[in-house]
Amino acid sequence: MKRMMTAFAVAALPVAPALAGPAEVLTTYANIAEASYSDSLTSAQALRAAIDTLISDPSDVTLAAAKAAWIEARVPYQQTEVFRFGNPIVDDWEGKVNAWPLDEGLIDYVDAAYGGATDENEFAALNVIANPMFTLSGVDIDATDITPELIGETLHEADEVESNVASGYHAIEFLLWGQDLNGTNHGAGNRPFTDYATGDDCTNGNCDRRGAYLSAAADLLVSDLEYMAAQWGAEGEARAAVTADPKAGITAILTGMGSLSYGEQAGERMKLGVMLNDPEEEHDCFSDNTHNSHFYDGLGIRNVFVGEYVSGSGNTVSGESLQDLLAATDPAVAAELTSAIDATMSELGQIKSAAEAGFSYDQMLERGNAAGEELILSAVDALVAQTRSIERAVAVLDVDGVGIEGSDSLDDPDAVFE
Amino acid sequence: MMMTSFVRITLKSLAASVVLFAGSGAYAGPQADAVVRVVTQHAVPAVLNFSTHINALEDSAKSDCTAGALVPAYNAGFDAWMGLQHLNIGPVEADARGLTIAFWPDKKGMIPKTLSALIADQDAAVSNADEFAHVSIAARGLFALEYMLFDDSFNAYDQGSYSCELVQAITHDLAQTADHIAGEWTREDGFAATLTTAGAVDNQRYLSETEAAQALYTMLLTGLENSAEQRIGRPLGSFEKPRPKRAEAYRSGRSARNVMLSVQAAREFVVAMAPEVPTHTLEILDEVLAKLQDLDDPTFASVDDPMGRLKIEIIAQRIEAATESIANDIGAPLGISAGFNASDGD
Repeated sequence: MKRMMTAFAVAALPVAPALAGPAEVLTTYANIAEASYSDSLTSAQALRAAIDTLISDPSDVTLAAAKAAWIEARVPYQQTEVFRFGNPIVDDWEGKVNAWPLDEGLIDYVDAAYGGATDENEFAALNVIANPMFTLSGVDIDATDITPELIGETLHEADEVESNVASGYHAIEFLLWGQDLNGTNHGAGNRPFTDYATGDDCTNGNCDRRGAYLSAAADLLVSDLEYMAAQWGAEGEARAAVTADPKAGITAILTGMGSLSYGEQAGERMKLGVMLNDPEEEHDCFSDNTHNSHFYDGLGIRNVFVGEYVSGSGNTVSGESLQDLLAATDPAVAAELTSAIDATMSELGQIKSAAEAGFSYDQMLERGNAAGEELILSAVDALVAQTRSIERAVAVLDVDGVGIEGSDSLDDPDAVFE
Repeated sequence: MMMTSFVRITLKSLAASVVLFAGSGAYAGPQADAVVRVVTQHAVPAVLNFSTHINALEDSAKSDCTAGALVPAYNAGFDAWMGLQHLNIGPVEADARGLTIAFWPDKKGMIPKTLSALIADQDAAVSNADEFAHVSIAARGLFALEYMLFDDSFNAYDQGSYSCELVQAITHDLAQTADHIAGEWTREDGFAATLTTAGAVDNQRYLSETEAAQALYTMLLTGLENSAEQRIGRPLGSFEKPRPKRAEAYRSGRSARNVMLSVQAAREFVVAMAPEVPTHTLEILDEVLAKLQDLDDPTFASVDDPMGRLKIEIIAQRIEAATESIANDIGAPLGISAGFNASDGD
């Protein structure tokens, strides 16, 4: 499919094909979702293979390889976050794979400074790896065999507490890196590979159970991503939901873009962390990969707007875009939103480049660190400005009702798809 | 590869800015009138009232910082905040001031942790306002102060102690924040002017009166949603697992009062914004206020009890109903709907 450059091109060259319309825009959107979830799946399979190698042959080298596979797996996954909020199928599922922040003491040993049970979470320090038998909300649990079912159905969000995150990327991240005990100083978690060693070489106890947990969590991540990639396939329900009704589909795109920009990324993930000076408020706090998770979240928003996704395989998925549709409706608003999104990418790019050059995200959160605060709050401001432009796009595309209340998309799918 | 795309992005950005404000229209009409009424009758008085009471709180802490002495001024200050907290826009949103004044919910127990660390270290930030302004928001604002005044592990301090200085630092920081908000709202080119000149050629924030009206309207609805979903929803938890300790400001016994004050603020907002008397909406809001009165449960502790729980659930449902009624009474006649809000994340 040939992409139109701008609506002006249509006016200047009447022989050019007219802009196709919302249906084609939604096809592109679903294609990008399918490609980015498929890439997430492929990279999660590579992660699982690297984890298998770590467990069968623990060493600094195999641990480093598993960590590298995790970092790679985050690249396509973070670009899918823009499909949340607007799509109930994604929203209902997302918590299994990317829930955060977590009380990691639920899973494994933690430093003494972590503390124990809290007002909010009496299982904050349960340590399933060390304790095969325990009681959860009055039910005796036998966790002798650590299976994907145990993690997904019993441990995850145990006792209805959100921070009991037992599955997904961040649980795996914790099991690879361990707690980051460097506070707001440079440095990530430093789990020794011997946490997966056998016999007398095992450090911190229960290495076999730790390996079983990590392996089961990786299996669960793969099967969860298989499910979501299929939802966006030719016969998938998520694809059908956005393509069945063009107005509802366009609403879903804009709801995802706006809610991720504002409440989620600018607010919950970025502003709160810097205002608390809390390194545990880093999205990828064990691995210190937060600069990348923010950057690729932003890129995902740009992908669905410009109708283009570049895969890890080097292939590009592109087509008619929301940008084209908006340019045909109101070129000024289209130009403004394009500019706002590009400004955000520039700000997120600065955080990423600073972090990769040695000024890590947790250092940016340090109390009184003016340079870090400036970097983060500039990106927050850009995301807030971008949200205003998205609201203008909602108005000119006449899809009122977007974001009347963001969690409509979570609680009441009908409200979004009416 | 990334560098190349940034160069392209920059060129496109330049082109975009040229056409940015081409669509600005003239300023007039019912939306503009509604904005002026909300600004003058509701928002500016709330901003000034907050500043007055928070400055009084600071003065009170200066003369006697001890917990018992400070409680009345604390409650008056918190009451004033409840008149303003829903206007999380412009000067309240800037620099995360709203979040700094009222950091809640504190899901990870950061407030006691951060306060304890400051006290244990005798952290010198308390004696320097500029430095204290960089301290974690977990140790600033009304909820940190609530721990200092009401929690047994913090509130037994004497005049002249480190904790006393900490309380004075918190109240001073709050007063500074309140003054910044008041200044930025009311100065000649301040946020009140930004809202009321929406659509003017040089107004870069609101390109039309519709945008200004929508921005305010979003705050009205979000404020009510937050009361239903957070202030009431968090302690409700589930039937199997009620969570009374998740009620907002339960240490100071303000949980139900905060809902009541937020609904009263919404009522004032509705009266100011409505193009005609919004009878149905006012009936629902008055019903909510009466039900809160009847409930007689300051901390929502009765979420544990099936009967109490039902009453509290109904209050939340009626607040939700009020938001729907507002859409009919105000949104539809003014031709506006809500935009994105800060609670849109998970």
